[in-house]
Amino acid sequence: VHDADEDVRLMLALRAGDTSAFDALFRRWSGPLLRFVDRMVRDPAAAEELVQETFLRLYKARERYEPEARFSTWLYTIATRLALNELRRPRQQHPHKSTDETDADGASLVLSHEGPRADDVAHARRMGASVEAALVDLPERQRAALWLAAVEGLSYAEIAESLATSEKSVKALVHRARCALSERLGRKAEA
Amino acid sequence: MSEPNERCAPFEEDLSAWIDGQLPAMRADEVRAHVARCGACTVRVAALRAVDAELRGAADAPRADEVARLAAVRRNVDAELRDGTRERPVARRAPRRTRRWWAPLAAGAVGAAASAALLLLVRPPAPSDEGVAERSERAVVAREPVAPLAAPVSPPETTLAAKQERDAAFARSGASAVGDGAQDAALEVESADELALIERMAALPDAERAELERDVARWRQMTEGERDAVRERWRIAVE
Repeated sequence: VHDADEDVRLMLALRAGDTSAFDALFRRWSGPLLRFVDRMVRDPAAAEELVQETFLRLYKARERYEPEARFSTWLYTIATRLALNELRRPRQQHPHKSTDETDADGASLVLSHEGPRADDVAHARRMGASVEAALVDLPERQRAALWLAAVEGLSYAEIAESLATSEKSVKALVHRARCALSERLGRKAEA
Repeated sequence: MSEPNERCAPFEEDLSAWIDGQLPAMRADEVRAHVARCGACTVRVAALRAVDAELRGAADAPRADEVARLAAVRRNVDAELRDGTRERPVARRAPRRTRRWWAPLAAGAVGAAASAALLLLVRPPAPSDEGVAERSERAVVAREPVAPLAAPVSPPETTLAAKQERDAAFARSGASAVGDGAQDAALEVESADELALIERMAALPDAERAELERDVARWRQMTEGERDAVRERWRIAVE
C-alpha cells in the first residue's frame, strides 16, 4: 500500500525540479503499473511501451501537476487510456466482443482474430490461476474497472474518470466482472 | 444452505459496490443488514471477495522478468528524455522470425498487396490516438537505434500508387539484404500508423497472416463503393 501523501510530496518535488523524485516515483509505481497494463493488453512488449509512455507523460506534465486528484488516480488514468487506445489498434482487437460498450466493430470485418490468441492462452496457462484465465475473457473495460477497484482501491468516481464514463456504469462494470470471475472460481472449486 | 430469494434481488446489484465501500451510507446500512440475516447473500459476498483476494495475490506476484523489463523501460524513459531515442522493449528481443517475411515486402514483391492491406487499415487520426501515434514513431527508432528520426520524414503516403512507386524505387536501389539499415531507413519514410501495422502484420502467426492475405485479396476485388463502406465502418469503429 502506498502512502498517498508521499506520492504528492514527490510529485511536487519533481514539479520544483528535483529529478530524484522521478526516480522515487518510478520505483514506487512502475511495478504495479506494469502488472496492471500486462493484464490489459496482454502483449508484454506493448505493456512495456505503455508503462514507458505513462511515465514520460507524467514527467512532461510535471509542471501542470496539482495535488487535487490522488496521484495514483492520475497515473492510472493515463495508463488506462493508453491501454484502451492500444486495444483499439487492429492487432489488439479483443478476441471477444465487448458487451459493455457500443463500439461498432467494423475493423473485425476485415481483420478478424476469432478466438483467444495463442499467446493469451499460453500466458493464462503459465499463470496457472483460474482468475488470470478468466480475466483474459473479460471485456477490457470490465477488466480495467475491476482491477482498479479491487487491486488499486480506486473509487468508482476515480475509475469513471479513467474510463471516461459514469459512476453508474463503473458500478455495473465492476459487478459484472466480479460475478464472472467468481463464477469461474466457483466452477474450479467444484471441479 | 439457504437459496437467494425475492428479498435478495434488490440487493444483488449493490453487493460489489458495498464490498468496495462505494454505496451511500444509508444504502450501505441496508445492504449490511440484509447480508447479516441472509445466508445466501453471505455466501455470495464471500465468493465475490474471494475474487479480490485472487486478484491481489496476482498483483503482488511479479513475474520473473519484471526487474529486467522495468530496467529496460527506465533506460528508455531516460533516453527519451535525454535525446529522443529508445531501445527495443525486452519482450521484443526474442529472435525475430518476422524478418524473412517482410523482406519481400520491402523489396516490392508483395508491396501492392501489403499496401492494399495498409490502406485498408490506416486509420483517420482520432484526437485520442495522439499518444499512440507518437509511440509508433518511436517504435521506428527502437528498430534502428543508430538512425533515430534524424533524417527528414516524408509526409504519410496515402495512395496505393505512391506506395507502389516507393516499393519499386526501393527494389531498383538494389537494397535487397534482409535486415540491413537500408530497409529500416526506407521504412522510416512511412507514416507511424503504417509502420506499426507492418510490424504487427509481420509478427502474425502463419494462419493469421494467411487470413490477412485473404482479406487483402477480398479488398482488391471490392468495388470502390464497397471499399467506402468498409472505410466508413472503420471510421465509426475508431471514433
